[in-house]
Parts: sequence; C-alpha cells; structure tokens
Amino acid sequence: MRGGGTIASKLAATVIVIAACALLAGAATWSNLNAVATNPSNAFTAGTVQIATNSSGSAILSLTNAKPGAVSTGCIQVTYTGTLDATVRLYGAGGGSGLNQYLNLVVTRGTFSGSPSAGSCTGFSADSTNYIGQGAGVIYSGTVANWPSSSGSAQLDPTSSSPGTWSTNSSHGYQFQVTLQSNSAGQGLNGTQTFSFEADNN
Amino acid sequence: MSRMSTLWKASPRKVLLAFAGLMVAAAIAVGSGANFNSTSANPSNVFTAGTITHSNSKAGAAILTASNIVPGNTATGTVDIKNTGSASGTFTLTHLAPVDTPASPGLAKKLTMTIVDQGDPTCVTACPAFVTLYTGTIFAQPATIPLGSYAAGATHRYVYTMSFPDAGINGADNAYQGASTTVEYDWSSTS
Repeated sequence: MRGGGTIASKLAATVIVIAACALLAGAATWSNLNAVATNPSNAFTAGTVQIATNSSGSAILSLTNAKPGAVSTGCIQVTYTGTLDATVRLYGAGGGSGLNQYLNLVVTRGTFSGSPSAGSCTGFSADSTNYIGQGAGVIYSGTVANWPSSSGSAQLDPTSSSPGTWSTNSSHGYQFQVTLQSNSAGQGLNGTQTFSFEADNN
Repeated sequence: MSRMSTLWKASPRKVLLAFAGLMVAAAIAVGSGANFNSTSANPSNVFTAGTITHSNSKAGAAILTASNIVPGNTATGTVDIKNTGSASGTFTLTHLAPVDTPASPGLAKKLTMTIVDQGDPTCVTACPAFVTLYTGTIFAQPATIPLGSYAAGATHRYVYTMSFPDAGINGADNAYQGASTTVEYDWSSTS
C-alpha cells in the first residue's frame, strides 16, 4: 500500500507539472515577441520677459499752481528680471486740458549708487554717454506733449537708433524733470502724463 | 502428447523457450517478405524562435529639448530606430501624456511638433519619400502612431521639429512666459 501511495503521488505531481506547462504555454500564446525603447524628458521651456520699477505705479512728478520756470524732478529705478535678452521701450499716454505742450521734459538715464526709494533721486548719477547731443545721459529733451504716446511710437532705450540690450538683472535709473515754460497760454491749464517701460524679447 | 507431458514435467522452462524460438522464426519470415526499398531522411529540422529587438540612437535620453524659447522659435531633434532582431517587426510610436507647468494654459497645447520618417539614413539612391507622421500640438498627438513593418536590420530616421507659434505683438503669448512641458516618446516593436 505504501508503494502504491508513492506512485499515486508521483502521478499527481506529474499531472500538476503538465498542467503548469499547459498554463505557461497558454500564457506564451497571449503575447507576441516585442521590445520597447524610451525617449523620456523631451522638455521645452519658454523664456520670460519681466520688467519693473521701484515706484510701484505711483507718480514721481507733481506741479501744483505752478508758475513759469517751476520745476519738478523725480527718479525711478527700472530692473529687468526676465530670462530673455530684451529691448526696452519708453512711452506713455498724456492727458489734461493742454498744459503738456507747455511743459518741457528732460529724461536722463543713469545709475543709482544704492537702493533708492520711489521717486527719489538720491544717489543718481547720469550716464556719461551723450546719447542725443543734449548732455550726459540725456535720452529725451522736448515737451511732455511730444513724449511718444504708444508702444508703436515708443522711443527705444536709450535711443531708437541704437537700442541697448537688457539682460537678466539689468538695472538703470531714470531722472524725469519737467519745467513749465514761460508762456501765458498755459495759464490755468493742467496736464497728466504716464511714463511706461515696456520690455520686448529680442 | 505423452512426450510433451513428459517434457513439461521434466522442464517447463525449456518448453517455453522452444515456443519463443518459434515465434522469433515466424517474425523473421514476415521480414523476409519485403521488397527492395529505399529511404531518405531529413534530419536536423531545427526550429529557432526569431528575436524582436531594436536599437534607439538616443535610448533613455531626450530626442530634443529647448529652453528659454520664445514665439517663433523652432528646435529639431533626430533619432534612429533600427530593427536589430532576426525577424521583421511591426513598429509603433506612443507617448506619455505631456506634463505642463503650469497646467494652464498648458505649453503642450501651444507648441507644435512635426514628426517625419526619413527612412534609411544611409540611403543614397532611389530612396523612398519622407513621410510626415504627425503635425500638430504636442498635446494632441495620437496615443499610437503606426510606423509599419521593419525588415530585419532596417533603420528609420525620425526627425522631430518643435515650433512655438507666434500669436502676434504686444505680448500676445505672455500667458506662456516661463511655462514648460515635458513629454516621453516610446518605441515598440512586435513580431
């Protein structure tokens, strides 16, 4: 009886093996031969164009009840933090009842020796370059009314004929100075002006 | 019978051997009835499974990358896929879902990709025309693009060209500043 039990167990084992082989054979028929290769990490990243001033959008010039010869001066620091090299445009819309045509504007480009507060010209030094023949660092000299009003007509920094390249962390100071002309036609008029800096990637 | 009985009684084993001898003789007689014949054999019929493997000239690496891109930029990358197996195989191109940062608006929905099968890069005469497999945004690429059958040893060169469409001036594409997208391309071959 003992010998018979051994044969029975061997038969059972054989059946199990055959069944397992059948299962494996069945599994093999489920799939074809194949191979896979991978190309991961195809990455694309857009650059950035970011420019900001230290004035946080607040006014840097003001004249109230001004008389001929009155002057207002203010400065801002403009910093570029984009990853793409860029050119900068200066423009801004004017408004009011017509005083801007009697306001002379001089814009001077320069640097700050420290970290200026909004509107302050403390530590400002004009560039040594005479950009337009109006003195060191001067990039615009004319009436407020003639300041370019839109991006399309903007003045490039420092000059449209020779724009500069702004790279990451480029920073420049700008001094704005308005003087009321001695022209009686300006009496009682008022004016507003926005100064915008627009960066465009090269 | 009396003698058989005597023999059986004397030695039953000798009787059985005698019968066995008669049976052998009968078998020989049957064999002697055959005519002339001829046989031939085809031995060594060997069956070996084919292999399905392929090489990827940039295996495990990107086909192309581009950083700090702006509208109007393009970038191109090339990869060679070769059937290194012993059998022909059916090839397909799949990809994982692009990963956009930020998720919205999604740079993969802005950037376009063109994938061209240039065929065998060593071909110099009577070469088949290039086949554009896909043109569209990275995001909208079909999950599977069939590449057809490669004969054993065949190589195809695939050229990827990424483009950043320019929507216009005045910051029309500002929404994509600093955005990134990453995508994985997978190549499969099946017997």
